[in-house]
Amino acid sequence: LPDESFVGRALPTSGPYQVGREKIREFATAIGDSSPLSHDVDAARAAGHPDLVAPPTFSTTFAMPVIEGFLKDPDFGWDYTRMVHGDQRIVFSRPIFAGDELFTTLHVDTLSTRAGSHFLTLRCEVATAAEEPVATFTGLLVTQA
Amino acid sequence: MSVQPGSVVKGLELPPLELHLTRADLVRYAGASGDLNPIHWSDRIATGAGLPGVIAHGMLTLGAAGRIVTDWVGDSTRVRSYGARFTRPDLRRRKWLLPPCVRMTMPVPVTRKRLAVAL
Repeated sequence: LPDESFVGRALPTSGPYQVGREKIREFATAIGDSSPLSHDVDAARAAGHPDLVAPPTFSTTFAMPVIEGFLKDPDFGWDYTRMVHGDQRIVFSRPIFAGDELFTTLHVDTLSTRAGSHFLTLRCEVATAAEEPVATFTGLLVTQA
Repeated sequence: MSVQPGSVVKGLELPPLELHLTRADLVRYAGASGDLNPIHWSDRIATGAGLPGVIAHGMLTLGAAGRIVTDWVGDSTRVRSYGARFTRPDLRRRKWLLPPCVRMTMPVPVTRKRLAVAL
């Protein structure tokens, strides 16, 4: 059984994650996003941005490893092998650009069991070194009880 | 293309998007995102988990489907929030699907200063 004492806790902050131009291009290509803002630095700057624009779901590249690290911690007791993604929400305080250095803090918000499944809500708060908020990445994960 | 203020009315439907996802797309996304869960690339692991075969990453579906919105607004930095509920696969009923082609349109409710797009 997952350890309920983790609920309400925040894990140590991870980072910095350096947002790179090539990672933005690679990720945009992988989701079929051909926007010049995510591929062409000149186009991004012409549109008033400091550098390449990360697609809205880009934060999964650095948030999911933090989440996986927690879920694979045997002290928590989560069955990672049978996990599915129930829902996901990303709220932006500002866009993510190439050159950003980002820090991610994982919060364990809720854990419940019903209808033979465990439901876990995890929230990643993404911020800069100056603690400027960037994004909140909240997901519901489900595994068999 | 960029959406113009005043051209948006409640109930507007955005142009449909068809996704044709191949195994190569899933492998590319696995590498780009770092999500290496083998149910997305290994038939042996996927069928062992009760699936008919490999399934797409939920975040790949979300990212690719979101192009309906980001292509429409023209600049993804105008997106303030983004979300999805993944209704399949269902863990209990064991109905797992990877449609070879997904066709989606999005009706758009509009509030005074913001718009929300529902799939």
